[in-house]
Amino acid sequence: MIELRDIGKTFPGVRALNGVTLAIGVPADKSGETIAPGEVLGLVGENGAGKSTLIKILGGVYAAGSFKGEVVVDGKVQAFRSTLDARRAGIAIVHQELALVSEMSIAENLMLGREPTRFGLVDRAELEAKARALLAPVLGAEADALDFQAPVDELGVGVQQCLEIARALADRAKVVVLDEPTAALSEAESEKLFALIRERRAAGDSFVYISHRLEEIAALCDRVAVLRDGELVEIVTPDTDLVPLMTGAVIPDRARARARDTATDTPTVLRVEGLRVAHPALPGRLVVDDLSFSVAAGEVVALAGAMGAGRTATLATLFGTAKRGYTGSVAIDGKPVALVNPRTAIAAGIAYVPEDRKALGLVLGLSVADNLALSALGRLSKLGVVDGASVEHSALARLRELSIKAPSLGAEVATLSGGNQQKVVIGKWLELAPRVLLLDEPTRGVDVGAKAEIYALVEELTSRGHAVVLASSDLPEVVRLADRVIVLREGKAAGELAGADITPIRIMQLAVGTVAAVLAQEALGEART
Amino acid sequence: MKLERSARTPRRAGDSSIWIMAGVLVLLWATLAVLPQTRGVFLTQGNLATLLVQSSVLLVISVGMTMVILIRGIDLSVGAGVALTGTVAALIQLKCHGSAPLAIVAAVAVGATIGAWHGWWAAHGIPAFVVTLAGFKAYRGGALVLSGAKGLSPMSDDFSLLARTVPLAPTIAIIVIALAAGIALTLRDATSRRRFNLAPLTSRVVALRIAAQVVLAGLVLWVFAERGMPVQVGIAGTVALWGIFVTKRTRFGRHLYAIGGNPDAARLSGIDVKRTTIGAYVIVGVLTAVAGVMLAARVNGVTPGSQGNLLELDAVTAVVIGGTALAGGRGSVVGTVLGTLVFATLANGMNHLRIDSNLQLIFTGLVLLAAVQISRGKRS
Repeated sequence: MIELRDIGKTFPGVRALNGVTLAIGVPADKSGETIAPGEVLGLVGENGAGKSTLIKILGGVYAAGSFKGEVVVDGKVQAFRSTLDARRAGIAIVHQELALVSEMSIAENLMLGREPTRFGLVDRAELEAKARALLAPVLGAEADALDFQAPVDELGVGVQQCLEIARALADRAKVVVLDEPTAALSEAESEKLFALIRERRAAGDSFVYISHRLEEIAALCDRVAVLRDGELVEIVTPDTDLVPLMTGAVIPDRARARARDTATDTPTVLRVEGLRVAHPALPGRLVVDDLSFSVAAGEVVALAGAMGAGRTATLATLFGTAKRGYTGSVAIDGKPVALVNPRTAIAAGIAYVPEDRKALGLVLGLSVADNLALSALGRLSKLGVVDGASVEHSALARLRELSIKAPSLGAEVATLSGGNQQKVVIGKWLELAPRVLLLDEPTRGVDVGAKAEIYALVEELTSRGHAVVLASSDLPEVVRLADRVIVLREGKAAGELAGADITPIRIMQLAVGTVAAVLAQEALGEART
Repeated sequence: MKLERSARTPRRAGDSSIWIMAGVLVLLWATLAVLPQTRGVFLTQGNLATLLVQSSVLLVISVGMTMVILIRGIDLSVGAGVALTGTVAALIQLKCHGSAPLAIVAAVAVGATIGAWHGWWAAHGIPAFVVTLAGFKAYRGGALVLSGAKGLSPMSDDFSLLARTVPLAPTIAIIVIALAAGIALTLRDATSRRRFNLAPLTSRVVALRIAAQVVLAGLVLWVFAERGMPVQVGIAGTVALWGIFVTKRTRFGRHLYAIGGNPDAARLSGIDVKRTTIGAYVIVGVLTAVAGVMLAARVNGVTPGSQGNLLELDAVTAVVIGGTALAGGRGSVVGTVLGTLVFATLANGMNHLRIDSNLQLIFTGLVLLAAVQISRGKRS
């Protein structure tokens, strides 16, 4: 059993944690009988509530002495000096940010630090065999199809995340901390992960499960610890309504007011005809195959589908970043455009909010103001000289417009919470007033409150006449925001839904094929009970 | 409102390490001013003028080096480039009896071409380390081939003007004009904010900035009050001020930081990464030629085999001491100016202290490590 006793941590000017006491792993009852072999403890709270700080203390990222209180493993007070100490004590953490070596193969990544050797040489065959054995319970049949000698960066984020989880499980940890593990996973992959967690819990392992997806918390956890403003609010049963506890206020989850009548002749802003995009690595294969759709002014069209169905590839192509080019035609306001690089796309009136904001959306070492000015410096300068006052004026306008919470305009954007970082990524386009906004997983890793704000922002932008293309694996999000949904399967449009037809079940049926959908639905039903 | 208050003094990342370097420099100077061996020797107008002249060539190169290091690049060819561009200038003078302006223009054209060549490869994914390492070999060879491996001297009289000293009256005029420009820019910053109803810069901030400029100008004036300002120092100072302006105030400069911080995000924000990259290498190439011309004037000729030897590593040292990260995206030309001065002060001071030149190398190496440690510590 692992206990956190009266944990407190202060950063300059901010008290991140205050007096948090928490036991992980179900303790023995008074008679000494264990109640259950292991448990899944949910950890919820808005961004900034102290979850990350708590996890970093547990995992040895913050060394002993830099915080108040004690970390106790099986009754012994620990003094972790590094993450390695924590790992040795049986605490494995799967971070939100992936920690894989991108040039190394799948097999090497899985077996990093425990490579099997023969006569001092790495035994590649055994390496792959052991790696396969590790990944099979996480990915199932999909794992068999993977080329284990391929570099990990050829995999989608979802599969990479599975590798990380497999690696943590291989450490035979007493407690595995999963920080937003399903953020990048498709529904089917998530279900596999849940099954795996349940199996390991039955075998006596304990988990700390951090997620913004409260339905997952409800389906998976035995107990839920709610943090707010650095303090432990309460430990509750998973069927409790968590949102009021987390936010202190009730957030209305109303469906998007579908004011737009499809019969009215709102002008078409974006028209895509017969889009075909070649696979970046495999010649002869297509990631997008004959896709046609249009988006009207003020409309949100969502692209749904499983991982690798072509959602991100479509958006990236529309932003001019397809590695091997595309065929088909794209028109904006009726004018055909050639999208050969991001600059041509921006000139055509397209803006892109990429899936991975830290890698692709932000320059983390630069200030909030610099990031907000990133794509509009041309507009904010005269004869190549940047007008500092214009930059600040425009940045302040964005801060107000998007209610971005930042200590100052000069603060490094890396110090902002995930939700506020995401608002900066969206905000950097607004100076240019783009016609089309491409949003790829706009609320990934963002807390409940910021999520609602981003939804409100999308609605505000559409009311101003922007056309929005949304790619999202978060089905409630798609239902909430989309006027129409185009479901992709293996690069092709598997179907289109509009109005009341937009339901998670219908989307899933189209995305994975009917039989699989029924199975997945049953699994979901099972999870709920 | 909390936000408005803090927005009033936008603090940029990396500012604090500049103050540390400035502190280190002041400390060094103060120490050398009171140590028995250097008292009355170091902190004299004559010695400081010599120190500045000796660091002029390095400073010009380092300003360019800062820009390529900011975008995660490097230029290892600048030492050889100094030899090649100097050789071109000298040949035009000696073989073609060309005028000094012609020789300088030709050298700068060669420098710009070299820079464009590096930039083109770097922009197309070839590591700058490799491209410029090739140049490191090739340009030295080029200088030797062009000159027939012989020393070239002397330069013409008008070329040697670059090694002379500006008389006192124009020196004062130049410094006053630079000060006036700096004050005007500060005041313009303060007033231009009114256009958008931004919180005005506090009079304290404006006064502080102007006071700093006045103190700096006064210091420079004092150093050159006796004999006037050497042309070399004038050029280096101009290049440094230009470099500060370009990196801090121009679109190109801000793009350098964005590209160095995250090239993917920069590209996806519509920044022309290739053009900016090529631009940065052209700048370092041109500044290499300027340095090549300055050095040829100072030593009144070119020794193609050794002119500019190790300048590339001295420049990287100055840039890194000045707090610019080799990983890119962080640093400043102001830091590089301070780094160059620290570097030059150490050499000058250790000479006066009669420290063995071999020991000096060891000591300089340790200072480099310590400087990196300081800027790393500020970051985490």
